[in-house]
Amino acid sequence: MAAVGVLTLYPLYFIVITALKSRKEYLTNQFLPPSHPTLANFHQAFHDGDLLRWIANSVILTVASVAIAALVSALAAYPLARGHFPGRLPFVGLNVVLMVVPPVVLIVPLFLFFVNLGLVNSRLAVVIIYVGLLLPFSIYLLVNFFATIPRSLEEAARIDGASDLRTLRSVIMPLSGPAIITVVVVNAVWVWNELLVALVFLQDDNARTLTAGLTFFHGRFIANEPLVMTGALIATVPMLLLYIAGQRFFIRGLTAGFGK
Amino acid sequence: MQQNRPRRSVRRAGAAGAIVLLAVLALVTAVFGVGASAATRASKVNLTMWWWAESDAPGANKWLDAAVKSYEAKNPNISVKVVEQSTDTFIATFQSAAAAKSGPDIGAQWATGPVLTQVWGGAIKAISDLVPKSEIAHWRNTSENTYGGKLWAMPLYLIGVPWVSNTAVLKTAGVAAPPTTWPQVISACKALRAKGITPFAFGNDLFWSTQLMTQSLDSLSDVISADTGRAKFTDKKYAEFEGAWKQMVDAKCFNDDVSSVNASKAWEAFAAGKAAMTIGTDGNVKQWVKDLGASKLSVSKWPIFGHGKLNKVYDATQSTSYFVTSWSKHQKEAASFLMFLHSTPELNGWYKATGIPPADERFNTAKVTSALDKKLFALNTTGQQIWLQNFFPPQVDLNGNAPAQQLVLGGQGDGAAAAAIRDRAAKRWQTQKPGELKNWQNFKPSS
Amino acid sequence: MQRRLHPYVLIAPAAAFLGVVFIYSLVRLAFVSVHTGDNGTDGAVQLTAYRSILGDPIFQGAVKHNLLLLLSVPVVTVLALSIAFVLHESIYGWRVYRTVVFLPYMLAIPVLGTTFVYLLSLNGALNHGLDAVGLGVLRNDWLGDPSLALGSIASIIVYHELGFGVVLFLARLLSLPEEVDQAARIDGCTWWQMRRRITLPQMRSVILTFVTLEVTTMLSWVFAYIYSTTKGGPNFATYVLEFYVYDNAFAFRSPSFAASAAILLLLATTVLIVLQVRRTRVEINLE
Repeated sequence: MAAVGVLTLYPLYFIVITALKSRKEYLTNQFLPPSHPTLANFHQAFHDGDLLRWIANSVILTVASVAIAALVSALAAYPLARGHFPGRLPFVGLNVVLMVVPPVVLIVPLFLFFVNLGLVNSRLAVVIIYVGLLLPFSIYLLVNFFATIPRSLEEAARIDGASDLRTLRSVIMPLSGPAIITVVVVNAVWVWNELLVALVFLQDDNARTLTAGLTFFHGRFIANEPLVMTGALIATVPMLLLYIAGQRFFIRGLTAGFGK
Repeated sequence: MQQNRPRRSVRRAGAAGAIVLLAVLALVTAVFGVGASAATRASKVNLTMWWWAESDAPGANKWLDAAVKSYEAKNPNISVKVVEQSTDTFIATFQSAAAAKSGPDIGAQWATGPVLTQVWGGAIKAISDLVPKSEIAHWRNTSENTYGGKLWAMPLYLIGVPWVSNTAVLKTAGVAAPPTTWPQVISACKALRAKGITPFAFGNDLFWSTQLMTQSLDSLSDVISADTGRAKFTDKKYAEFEGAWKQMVDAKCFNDDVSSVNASKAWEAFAAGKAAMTIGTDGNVKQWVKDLGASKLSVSKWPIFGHGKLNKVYDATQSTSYFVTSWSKHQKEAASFLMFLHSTPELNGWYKATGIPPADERFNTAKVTSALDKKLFALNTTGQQIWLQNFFPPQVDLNGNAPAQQLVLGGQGDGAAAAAIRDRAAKRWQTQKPGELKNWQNFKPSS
Repeated sequence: MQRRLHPYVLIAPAAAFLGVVFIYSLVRLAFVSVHTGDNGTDGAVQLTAYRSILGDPIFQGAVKHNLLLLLSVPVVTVLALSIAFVLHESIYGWRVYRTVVFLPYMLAIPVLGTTFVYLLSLNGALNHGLDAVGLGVLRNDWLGDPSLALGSIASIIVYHELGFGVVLFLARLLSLPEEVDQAARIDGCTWWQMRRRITLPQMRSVILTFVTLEVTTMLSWVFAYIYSTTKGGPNFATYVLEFYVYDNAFAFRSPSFAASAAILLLLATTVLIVLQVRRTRVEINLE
């Protein structure tokens, strides 16, 4: 088990020690920890790139699309898990099938669509695309979770005359914290790390995301590996923090959403 | 089943509410941000320029920023917005813009194949229709983007791929001077290997080996003939150059990890003085001057292998070319801005910022001072320059030239097998893309 | 008195997003695949693009590579199950291990790819490590040798996905009632018998879910891994369907080829997933 742990951590360790080396030291010392650790790469990363703005853009996109996806998928998952109406099972099935569509397939038609709407270089377009791409998995997971909640709890609320929305908000949602957190964590990781849509749709410097910005560290002919690894590290840290903070709920949510 | 205490759930609902609120705020910001930037004042001309040069020529971005500022100061009714492109999506993003006929006023693509592909797709307005002949006469390497009697895109700078030698390392193995013929390359490799030195550093991601084919050709029409099926890439003329690389492989010229590292990684050994020779761009040479010192570095044309009429040309190209898009509403203004970039102060500023020669004869060559820079400048500007890869349809280049190089340099096949891969790729492209084939058949490059 | 919203109203926002992002795009794609021209709008309906790509050896190679990647699904599933079992035996510090094993899942795939290119190169850390422990005979050009490159990429994917499987399986294991286990132990069942007869059947649904997600990954989400490592090389050894779509759409300006390949990829994955869903439907609890 310890060996598995070491193997798992080694690539992360490599990223960290490389980020702390100067280019000169890296030329002669690739594997050992730096003999003269330096923060110069971090300084250069923040100085050369527009790192703070890229981070802000990534945060805006991640928060907006993850929150909307959570809300929209919860609204849809509730009747899908509970109701009896024509088209219910096909719609759930559709979501399962759409989970497998590779985004690379959708880029060109979506680009044309948003160009026609005049929404190029627009965060709105990107948020719409992200939400769309996140929904199939989110709906699938939430339908599974809602279906495990005993109906008796809602019936009490119904008798009190609560509406569907109210039941969802005051009965179902409070019980679904772990599932929602799971959806949020998985989706946030996905959006934060997404590259293809961000590159094609956000060409404006002001809207560029962190992962897209980092590709500019990596030139066509000239590469500075310690600098590239520094960028990688900076991009990774926020997600690690999110995971460590949400870990407890996240695991409970996975148990409930998948675990039956 | 989880049972949650009610108080916690209230708090959690509050948190969810806060997140939704944040999201709405973020969206509103996004929408308004877009609205504000999209709002154009009728009196002002906004030009958008897509730009890619920094990784050829570090310093290019700063130069363009300054150039835009000075242009806007002189032309208060015009504002130029520069959008830097990423190498990975340089073709892809313009491709989607062209499909939608909506995008920048000034676009950029790599010369010849990629530019002409957009010409044939109707995305480009010929620059020779917008700029006077007397201006174009000063530009260098215009043959790279001339088609059907028109010039389609503007060159900005010239970048070559010299054969670079570390003369100090060569000397330790008793090699007095950088090789100028292929037998000399091979004997230098053997001498260096005997001393335990890596003779030649290269990687698996730059597919420059095809460039050597130029030496066996008599004119650029030769390569178009093979592209379009009038000749075969397996014919001796087109295939013999692969034997040169095979000789190098057999003599253990390359770094042992040539097929598992990219070129920039392999160049680290050269930069550290652990490899004797390589090929790299002018931009790379600038970096190596810093790493190794100019006195150890020698740059030259590639050693001679082939016997075609083109065997003395240098492998340089304008790399990116800039053009006015067919959908731009301000084609005249866009062309004026491009011309401004070719004014003498801007050309001199470009060289000062990047050390890369501008593609214009009006550039004041007195600005080139060091011996090494003079040599590079002369290579890029005297005699004929051809970057052969540009004269392959992108599909043949990617599906033919790239795997052919991987095969030979990886030691998995000989020259004949590599030539066969290239020929199959060309045949596939010819049958799959009859429309493109017709355009290439009509392409008659000068020289 | 109940004010009940019609279920369709609640589903409408989701349907709108899915409609724009997926349905519109897929319909458009299908349309482009049977037409030629830059926007796929010229000429009559024709199936030339489908015929061409089916006869294209590069396309056939890509299909083969995707199918080979599927072989890593059982590998990652068994590995994740084993690690989850071991951790569930309550070894000291299992929570720490769980966090550690999950970390790679948080890394951006391009970050992972770039790092592994450094680690797996001929003179990279892996081969240095093998030399150091006296296993120098095993040193290989992991990404540069065409016969190994696809396997190396599969290992990178397994590295990324493993933690997700472990956390998923461990979560399920922790929710199982312990009494059954104890009873079985009293009956003299061996550890393996207990796992096989008691634990695994109870985990059937979560395992199937994981397998579904991994099959999806291997067929239609490997682009980022390959783009950030071998770009389909050396000599097409790691060329997959998504690459075929990407190259034709962006590099070669062949929208109808890209669209036809995309449609074929979609049909293949859909068939596989529908088969999977048929088996799991019962457990989705949809009454």
